[in-house]
Amino acid sequence: METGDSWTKPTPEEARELLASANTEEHSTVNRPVPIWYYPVIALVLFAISSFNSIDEPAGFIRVVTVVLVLGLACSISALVWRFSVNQPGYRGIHVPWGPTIAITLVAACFPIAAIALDDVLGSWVWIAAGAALAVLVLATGVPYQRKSRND
Amino acid sequence: MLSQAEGIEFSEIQNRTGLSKSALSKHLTQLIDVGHLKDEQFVRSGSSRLMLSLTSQGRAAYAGHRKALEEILLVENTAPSPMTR
Repeated sequence: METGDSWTKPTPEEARELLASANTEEHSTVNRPVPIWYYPVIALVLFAISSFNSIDEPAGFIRVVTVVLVLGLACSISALVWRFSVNQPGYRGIHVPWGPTIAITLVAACFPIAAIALDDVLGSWVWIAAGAALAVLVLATGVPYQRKSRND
Repeated sequence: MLSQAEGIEFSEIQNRTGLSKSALSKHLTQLIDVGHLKDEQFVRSGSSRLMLSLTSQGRAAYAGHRKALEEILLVENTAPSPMTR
């Protein structure tokens, strides 16, 4: 361990503790706590976006309103993720763990893709089912993460 | 903690380490003096704040320290046990 101007090589036990401490700090930087309402709101917005797609052939004014609402909700999710996951106050450019992020994004993408594929075959209710399943996925992964990051 | 972000504010570092302002300033100044850290004043919510970030030299030094610690553990794990003969 470093002591003033002298340096002694850490023992394996000290090295283990130092690495564990470094890993904990790195983890705490990447996995910042998010508000308790964060994942439920994201789940609800995703469900709403998916449900709007279940409206059978909206026409005219309803179509315009639907499109505006869907775009607005999509932008709100982007803003939430930016504010609470990527650019929290006090931090700049938190490193994103791309591996798990891409993996969960691909899994999440399967739900709307499945709805697109099954819409004509089973009916537009598949959008509501896909939205519900996606919301459950968000809550199932997000709520434990939120609890763990607040306890770290 | 700085290795996983482009920058962290002084107040947040103080909050996470539990160090006093003066103690933290002393440590950070030493790191800035050797070129491992850089600081940047900015304004957020109407008040002046200090953002700290690792320099490329600092990131390399941190990576080197981590590698040295991992090598110590690797040597320990690969050294023959006195029981196995």
